[in-house]
Amino acid sequence: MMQFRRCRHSSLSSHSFGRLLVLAFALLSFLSPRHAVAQTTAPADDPNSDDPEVERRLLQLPPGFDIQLFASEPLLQRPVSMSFDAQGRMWVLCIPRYPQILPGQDAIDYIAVLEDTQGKGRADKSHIFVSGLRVATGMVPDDAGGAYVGEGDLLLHFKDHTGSGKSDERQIVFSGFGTADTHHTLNTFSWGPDGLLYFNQGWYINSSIETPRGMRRRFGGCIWQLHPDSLALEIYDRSIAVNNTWGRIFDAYGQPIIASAWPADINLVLPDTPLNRDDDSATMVPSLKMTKLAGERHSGLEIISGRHFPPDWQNNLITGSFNSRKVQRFAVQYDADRLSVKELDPLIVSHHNKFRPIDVKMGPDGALYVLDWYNIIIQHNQVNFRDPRRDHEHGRIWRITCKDRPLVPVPQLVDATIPQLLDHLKDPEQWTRLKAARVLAQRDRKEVVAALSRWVSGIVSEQDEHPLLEALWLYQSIDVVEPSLLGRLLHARDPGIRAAATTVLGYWHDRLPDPATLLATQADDQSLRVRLSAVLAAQRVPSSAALESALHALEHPSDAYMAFELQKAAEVLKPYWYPQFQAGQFAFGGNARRLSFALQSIKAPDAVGQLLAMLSAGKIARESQPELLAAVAALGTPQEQDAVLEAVLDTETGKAFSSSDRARLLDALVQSTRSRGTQPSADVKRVSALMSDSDELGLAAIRAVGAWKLEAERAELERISSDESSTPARRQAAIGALVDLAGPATVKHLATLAQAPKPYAARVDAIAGLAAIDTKHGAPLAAELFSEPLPAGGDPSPAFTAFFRRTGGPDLLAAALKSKKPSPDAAKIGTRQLYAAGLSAPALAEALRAGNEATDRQKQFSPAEQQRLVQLAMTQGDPHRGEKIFRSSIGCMQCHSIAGAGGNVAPDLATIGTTAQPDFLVEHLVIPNKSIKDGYIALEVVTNDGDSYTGIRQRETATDLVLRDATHDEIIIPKSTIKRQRSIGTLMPTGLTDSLTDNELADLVRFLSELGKPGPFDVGHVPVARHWLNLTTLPPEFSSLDPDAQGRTLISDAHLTWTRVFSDVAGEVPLSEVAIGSGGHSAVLRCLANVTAGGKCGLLLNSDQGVRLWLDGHPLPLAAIGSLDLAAGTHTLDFLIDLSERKSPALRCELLEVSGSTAHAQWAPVR
Amino acid sequence: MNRKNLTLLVILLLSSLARAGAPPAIELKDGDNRIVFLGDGFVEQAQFSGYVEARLERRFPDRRLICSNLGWSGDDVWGSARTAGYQNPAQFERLKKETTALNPDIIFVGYGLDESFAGAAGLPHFVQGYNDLLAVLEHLTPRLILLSPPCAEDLGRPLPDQVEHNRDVEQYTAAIKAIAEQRHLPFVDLFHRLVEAKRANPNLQLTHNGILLNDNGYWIAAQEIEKQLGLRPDLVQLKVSSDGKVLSADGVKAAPVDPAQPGLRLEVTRGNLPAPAAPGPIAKLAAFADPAPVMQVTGLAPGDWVLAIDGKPAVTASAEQWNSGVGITTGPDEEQMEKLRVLIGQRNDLYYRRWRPFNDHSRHWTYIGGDFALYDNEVAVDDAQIAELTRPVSHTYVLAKAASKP
Repeated sequence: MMQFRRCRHSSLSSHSFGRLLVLAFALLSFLSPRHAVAQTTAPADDPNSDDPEVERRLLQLPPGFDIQLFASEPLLQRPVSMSFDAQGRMWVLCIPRYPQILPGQDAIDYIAVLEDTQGKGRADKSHIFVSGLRVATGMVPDDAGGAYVGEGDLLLHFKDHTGSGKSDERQIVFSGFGTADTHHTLNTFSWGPDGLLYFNQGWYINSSIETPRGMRRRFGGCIWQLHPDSLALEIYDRSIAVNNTWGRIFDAYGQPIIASAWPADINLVLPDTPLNRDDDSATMVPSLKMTKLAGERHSGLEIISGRHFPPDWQNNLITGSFNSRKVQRFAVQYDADRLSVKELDPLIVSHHNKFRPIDVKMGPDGALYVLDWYNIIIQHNQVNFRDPRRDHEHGRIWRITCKDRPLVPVPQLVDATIPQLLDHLKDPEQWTRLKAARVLAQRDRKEVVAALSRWVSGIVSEQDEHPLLEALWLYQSIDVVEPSLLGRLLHARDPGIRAAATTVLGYWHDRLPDPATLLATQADDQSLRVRLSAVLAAQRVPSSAALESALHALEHPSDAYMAFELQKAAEVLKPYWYPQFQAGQFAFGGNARRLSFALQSIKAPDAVGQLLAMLSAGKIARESQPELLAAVAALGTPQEQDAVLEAVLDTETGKAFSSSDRARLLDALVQSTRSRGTQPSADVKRVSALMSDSDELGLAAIRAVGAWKLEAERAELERISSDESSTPARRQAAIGALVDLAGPATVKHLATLAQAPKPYAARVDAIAGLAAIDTKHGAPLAAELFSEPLPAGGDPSPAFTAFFRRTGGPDLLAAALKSKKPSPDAAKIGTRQLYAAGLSAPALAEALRAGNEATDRQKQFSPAEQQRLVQLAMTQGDPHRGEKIFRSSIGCMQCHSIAGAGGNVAPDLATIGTTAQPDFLVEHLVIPNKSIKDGYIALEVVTNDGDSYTGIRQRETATDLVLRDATHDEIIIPKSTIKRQRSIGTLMPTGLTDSLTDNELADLVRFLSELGKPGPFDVGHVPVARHWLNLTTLPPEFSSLDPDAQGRTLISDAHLTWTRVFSDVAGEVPLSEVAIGSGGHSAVLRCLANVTAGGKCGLLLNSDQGVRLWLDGHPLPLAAIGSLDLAAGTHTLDFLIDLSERKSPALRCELLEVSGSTAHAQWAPVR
Repeated sequence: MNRKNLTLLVILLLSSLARAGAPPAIELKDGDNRIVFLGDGFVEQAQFSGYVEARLERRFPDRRLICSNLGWSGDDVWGSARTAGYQNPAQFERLKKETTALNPDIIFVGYGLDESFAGAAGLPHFVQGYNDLLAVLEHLTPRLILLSPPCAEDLGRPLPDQVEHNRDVEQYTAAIKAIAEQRHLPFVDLFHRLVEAKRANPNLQLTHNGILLNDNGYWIAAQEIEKQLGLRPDLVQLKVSSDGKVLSADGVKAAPVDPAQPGLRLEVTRGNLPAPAAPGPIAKLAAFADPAPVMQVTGLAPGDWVLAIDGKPAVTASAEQWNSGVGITTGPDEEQMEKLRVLIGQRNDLYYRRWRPFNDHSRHWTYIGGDFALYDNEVAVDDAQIAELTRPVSHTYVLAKAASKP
């Protein structure tokens, strides 16, 4: 999990000076020792100068570090990847023709090999290994004089048989990799500690590879794994399906970690299995979104190891953050066995505009090398491939060293003896260990095996477990199975080593006598990490026994990954255990828990009967029963579903499930009715008795009455819907059920309910219901409602969206609004909802805009006009005014977020200013459909019922399509109900900026163009709360209550309504934007903190004036917030702000790290 | 297309091909002929070495062959590799659309390798899919030529033993053969030829990874396609007397250049270019050699005689050898063939990039759409050059006494 840490020496910035210091990034660098610049930044330096020395001066590092130019143009042009070979030479892939070769142009991309023969940190010798490549995007030397290269559809192996330093053979290893997008084509090549070659492909890449072992197909991102000798090619990981993942390392335990540019993240990888031949990404791939570790755009990933870097830097992760032009640093830690990263102060911050760090590697000398793509333009699809601003000529590699620490002598591996090489496996530098193993793997196998065996038996100390792991990997590299060493390490003291050995066990399973027994022990390990490795390893073993072993983990604590992988194990191994189970040959040794879990996991309808038999035989533990019954509801026949219905109806004390479990099961039955058309065969009328229940169960019963068309309850539904004492949720459920019952009676009742003098909220719900069943009838009533002034707290949004959901709905509404002009408030809300729905409904937009004299900017948008606006933005635009426009006038945050704060149907804009050029921003604001970011093309889906949904495709399973709409909701649409779907371009509405003046548009563009650049609009990494809930309806009595006494009950009252608000870029919630209570001076704001490792954490407010605070519903004295003892889990913070008392116009709350504490916490998004 | 207006010639049935002396299965109409190669990675990778096309091109110097390779790695009779998602009807639609757009006169169909991984169980599905594909292709042209998949090769451990897989490929080969017979289409069995070639020469590597052919493999496959299509080996024979009189000429035109001059001086024009030279180690294996043109010279004075073609020494042999016939394997015709083959490879590479461009995701089309016209121009230039290079030109043969050895 993302770990935030305050940077102590700059804490002044938020304590007392507020935004002042944040505003002046450069100033801060001078004041704070942590930020002091290593090089003097001469103000006169031109941030666009192509002089490497000027660029160097504009790269700012922490004290104690030096940066120097290792190589630059003309040696390098557009370098994209670098890697050191076993001789310590640096290989650099240069692709001046990227992103697209022009027909008739020669292919001139090349690999340069650079050497620093003098040891002065500067390449003084170079040669071209191979040239004539065509937009190759990945490369790694093979450590035998050659290199593997990914070039478009080809995986190539270039060899140098004569040792001339130049390639003399080009071999196609495989063809058929996809080429749809050259920034996704094969990339990020590296050798694993297991001696296997790993490389990535990204989203949109459609690969079909013919290998000697069969077809390998992959559409979308994956990590490929190639055994270069046997040509076994496997999909190592599919979880990067929709990622651009350009960074990958294996840590000291072989744990794969990736850094992605999109979605921006650092994360761990849970490898897939070759037995998974299913390409259905939705169900068979763990979503890396289970955790989000670090949200910058990363390219390149390295792990610091070795004597040259200080001890506190060891195992830190380094990434190139090319958008924000930083080289970032993260600490790695394990919370409850789970990897997490914590962002530290960056290693490099650039004030030069072309610095683009995209690869980072430790060198043989222990220094860190940074590959600099050196380009203003990095994006692929926002700027023409042949835009003259693309730089094709430059490229730099920087070397970063620590002052006052000696470099590591470059190991001479190629000429070393086998025993010398083996001893290098104990070196502190991971680079050296990996390369020594690679050289050993290429030596005479017999000699290596003999020497390795002696070397291993010479290691007796328990402290030396890690060299033994290196030895195990070497055995794996040379494909020699060594059961005794494996056995020793499966029981190592260090859980990381046990986990690594368990992984090797998975690879060797077919050459070990009894892998299942070994796996069972590992699945019972005390460490979750080891147990997870065992579950993953079991997925490689095609047997029922392997699943039985994996399911030992069910007896131990679990987490989201474990739950996913256990289920996946049951699915992947289904061909091996399920037929045996059906034939009566295998039943998990009679272990009902394992059997029931496995049967539920595979979601086979024919397993439902077996599950029910186990249930009635009393073999299922009580706490597992609701889960099992939910599976029956989802998969079972009407007769089988009767058991679920009985459980819902059962009220017998001591036997019945909790009310919330019963509500959940009832909803599962209703869901099955809606998606599959099944309902229990028994008498379903009995659910009506539950309607009076005041909580979730009552709501579920009302929904069920509708879904099952229990006409006898119509009168009761009508009563609930018009009863003014019904809660909004009950009223809405009742109206929904009446809509299900349909018919003239429903229309008549809703029409009455929709008119004055019924309460406004009830009218809104009634109109929404009418729109769903009789859109024509509903339209004039809606127009009537919209024409009225908005009462306090009234929200007509649901009535609008109900029309948007119906085919033809917007036009009917537009017609009705012609005779009834909407009130200004209703028109605003309607327009916003229309934008949010992403609908193109010109007639309705016009009807809502009646009286608005906006200019139609798009029509007059010529290149000259565009230039004028760009000019205006860059000269006159005020980013602070622009931020206000972004936050309020035109609803940008409905869809876009900045550092996660805001909507999530459109790209996060935290670093847009460093990637997008102003002309792009202007164009995109005015003509949104001109270019749409990956993954943000909206779909319009029409169901068989005539309902229409608009949103971004989130994911797709075999049965459901999941969309995310502009109001942040996920919409799950059963595929069987879809009539048609089509792409409708971007959700960003055209004409959005029409209501802005040119000056306002210029301010907005200027604001966007500053985002992510060093300065006040860089979100930075200070852990400040950005997601808030704001109480919108404060009851009148609120202000008169004593909050200390009453606040707790009030704030936890479920009937209150909250709305989301977000902090601005500086991390503050402007109090002018929050809802104020009827007393006129109080506001309530809530945020959530997620503690991953319990302990002492602190909070820091910009000012505590007028603030009262509750923690998890208990009053919290402000004096105590600097050091709170928080247990692991999610905590709620409620702020009551008395505006009459408070001077500061904003609220800002930051998480503090408490000295000596091992606690880890982060802010959690609110729903 | 109104086929009645075309000078179509008959494609003969496969059954007749096996018989010696059967006429060729492949004949062309006058003028341009569009030949499409459709298939999986085996077809796709054939385009770069150019062996298959070069051998066809040389047979029809008076026609223009415009070859388009639509092979795609990992493809199958359902077009699975061609669009994202693998189970999408759009992929087959793309295959149909792109093949139709080329307006083909002849289609070589090369599937079965990827499908064969499904083993015997997948066979009925494959046969159905193959027939469905042919039903579509038959609307485009009746002249379909079915190719078997190549055999897989065991390259030793740790690469896999291919015995079992080859059993599957053999079954799929038999299935394709049966389809060809049912539909009366010509069929080329490459599988058994390659198996046999490997058995006879265990050290000769035919694939680069056990499954995709290398230059050796493609060279043999190209030779075999020519042979099984009934394009019999050229038997070029030229018999002249030592004073330059042409006694007989088969597959070649020859005439004395200057009869008044003493010695042998001939203007020689071959009917077809020679077959492309075999690559690397195969070149040394006589069993794979195409028959060389033979020149026989009678009545030479004893001693060694050098034949110079266009002034460049090509072969030296004794008068005795010349009298019984000497094979001519190097010379400007062979060089022209090699130039043609290389050009075919280059042209295919261009076409490949035009047809399957990098960055062909729909959102990039505004940026790369303009490239297509540029590619088309370049391809057209190459096509014209290929047509030119396909035609043999005349050369001057001079036979002279070799300088005596020191």
